[in-house]
Amino acid sequence: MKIEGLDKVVYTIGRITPNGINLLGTCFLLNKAGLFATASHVTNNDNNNLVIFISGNTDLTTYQDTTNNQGQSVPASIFKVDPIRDICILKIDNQALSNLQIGGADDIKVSDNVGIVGFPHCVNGRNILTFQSTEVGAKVLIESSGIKSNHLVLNVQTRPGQSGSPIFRISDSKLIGMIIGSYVPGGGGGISLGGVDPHTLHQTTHAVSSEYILKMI
Amino acid sequence: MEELTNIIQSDPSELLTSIDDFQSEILKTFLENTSNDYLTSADNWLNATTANTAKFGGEPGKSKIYRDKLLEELEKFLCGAEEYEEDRKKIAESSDKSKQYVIGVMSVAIGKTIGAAGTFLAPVIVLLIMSLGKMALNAWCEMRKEIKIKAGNNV
Repeated sequence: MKIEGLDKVVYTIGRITPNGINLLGTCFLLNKAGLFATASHVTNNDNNNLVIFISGNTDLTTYQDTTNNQGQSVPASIFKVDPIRDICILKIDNQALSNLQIGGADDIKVSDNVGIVGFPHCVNGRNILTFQSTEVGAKVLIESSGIKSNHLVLNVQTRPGQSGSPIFRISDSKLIGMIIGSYVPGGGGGISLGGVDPHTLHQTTHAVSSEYILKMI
Repeated sequence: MEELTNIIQSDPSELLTSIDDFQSEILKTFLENTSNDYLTSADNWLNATTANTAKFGGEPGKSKIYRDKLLEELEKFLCGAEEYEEDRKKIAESSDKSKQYVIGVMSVAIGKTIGAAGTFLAPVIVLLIMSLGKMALNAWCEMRKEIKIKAGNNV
């Protein structure tokens, strides 16, 4: 899998506040003009003051400057939402598009290698594009409001800010899923130690199959 | 207003064509699972969350949207409240009389009031309209008024 150019596909999404831009999570440019995908919980389905943040400092082939918080914000609006699969499609007023090949969980098998590209800790203001590699640990059906959908378990620890990160099949960079969080009985939120939910500190990451993105664009 | 009366009088199957296919498929499953309970289906959409998954976004504590609040706004829209006058005018003056357009305008307008994207609310608006059971618009508005008066008297 080539890492060159991923900084032109994967970005952070934020919300403009009186104190500046709060980064909310990761999003990625789709193969349709002006459309990005992220997790619906990243935007909370609220259009107000949403922006795609473009720093120009996230090239994976260079040293990214951790002190450089400069960048450009591009207004975005919510184009489509599937709350069952936790997917949100964003739209910007621009014809930009990627050459992503979109597949789904059916295109990969347990034990196959995948690459995850996103912004761990961006919710704390750290805007560093990061590549992780792991393998598919399981294919699972996860329920939401009585509907079961195709998901992947990835054997890797992920952190806040990575929701909305694309997952690529290492062999040919085909998109197969998107990070939505990590396994926690009941969904977590009960305990916080220094802002960290200890229940999330493990290597069972949940990702939704990207086949559902295809149905939305 | 003819367009709003028409939308209230629509069959559920017609209303389902006013939203995206993937949304319509989800609503059909909800309705099947709940034996056509429109309000429970609306709650299923609004409260959907992936089971046993901690979410890694930046606004974890954001308040949720309640169905009753949406119904209140829908009532204001349908029953002539001034705050939605411009939106009703937009529907009346548009050459596009499709259900998709009318539901779209309603969803975006109500979404602006409650801080949610129109595309997220549209399926719930559709379900709430289904729950009116094709009641005449004036009768429904009167009924809502009476319910509020009774509720006020009981406080």
